[in-house]
Amino acid sequence: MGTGKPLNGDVPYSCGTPTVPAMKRLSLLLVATALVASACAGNAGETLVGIRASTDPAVGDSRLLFAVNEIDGTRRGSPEEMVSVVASPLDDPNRSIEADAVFTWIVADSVGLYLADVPFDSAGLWQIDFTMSTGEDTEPFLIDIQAEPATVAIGEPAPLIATPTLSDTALEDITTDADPVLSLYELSLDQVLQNGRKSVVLFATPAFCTSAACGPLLNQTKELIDRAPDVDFVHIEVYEGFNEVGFAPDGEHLAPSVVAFGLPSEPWLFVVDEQGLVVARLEGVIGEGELEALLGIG
Amino acid sequence: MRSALVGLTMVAVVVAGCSSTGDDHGDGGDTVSGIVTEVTGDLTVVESFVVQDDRGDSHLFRPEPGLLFYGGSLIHLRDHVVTGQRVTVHFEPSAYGGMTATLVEHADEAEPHEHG
Repeated sequence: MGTGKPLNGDVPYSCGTPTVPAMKRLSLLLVATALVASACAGNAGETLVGIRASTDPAVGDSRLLFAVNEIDGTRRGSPEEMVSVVASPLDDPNRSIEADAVFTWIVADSVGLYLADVPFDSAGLWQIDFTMSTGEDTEPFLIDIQAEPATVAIGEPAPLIATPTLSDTALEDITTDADPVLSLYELSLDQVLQNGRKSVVLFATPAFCTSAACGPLLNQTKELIDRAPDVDFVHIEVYEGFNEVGFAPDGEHLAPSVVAFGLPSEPWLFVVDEQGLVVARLEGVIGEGELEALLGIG
Repeated sequence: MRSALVGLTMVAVVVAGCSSTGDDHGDGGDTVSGIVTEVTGDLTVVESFVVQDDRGDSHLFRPEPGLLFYGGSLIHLRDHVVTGQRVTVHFEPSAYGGMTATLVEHADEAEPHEHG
């Protein structure tokens, strides 16, 4: 179990006054508050720290993604290092949710994250205490649960946006995947969402990914295509015009569908039902059997 | 609630600024090396980020306008949140009392670094 000490305790401040950012920015910065406050209070040299990897957690979500590091930067985590978490809302610390976290490799034997099933049921700051099977001391971390996610929420209709297909665009201008599966680019997103079939919509950009997870998640998704013949799969690049001279992965080049889905990061995978409603929103990595269960395949 | 959030945010920014004052961490000058634990912003813009140094101290930075990461987008810092690869941040005090990052680079150039 972690130290359990509050992360947003009394911290004096006397320097200058920062500008007041927007509400969303505030909530994100609050996590930094936790880290800063705890750092100023002093850390034990051998304490393990948890690092929130979920970028858009909201009420109704149950996926908590995090990394574990040693203070000196050494990344920890493996399937053999078991982790349990206890999540408590800061405004109601007597209430807690316990869960076991499963380690998932992003890059085999190199990089991975822990994924815990924590049904966040109220907005606000939650403290995450975690326990390593090694018995080492751990430092809790905070996560700000939004009332509404930035991305399309579960239960909402997926935005009907036309996306480039092989019928109108060259393959190399549709995907940055070095080993593309053509079926991912045969139908436009708006077609997929209106054909009465369940669908998997993956936003990932292997060539310009900033999370290290795009290529691996795309590969995981491709492996399921043949096992789910009743499901339509579509892969959408985060940026468009990536082969043009002077291209930069900036706001001017965001794909319209990425904007419509409100993605704050990448990769993201959405499972959409036969009526075009989002039934699952998965960020970054998928656990073993997680997508299979959502698609009803063994 | 909003005022409380504003207050806490101010604490975050200010304490981060205080904690780094006069702190060279053995790097010489105003630099901090460590792991990236937070990146705020969206797919195209980094508004702020937090680096935790080897002593466990956290430092909140705002990037100077147009700051790049090896000629590419600073958003690439998100990659470091996932991989744990350390960075070195060169910074200077800013008018709001915090720290402005003026250069970000890999702490260990020998480390492999690839896109996902």
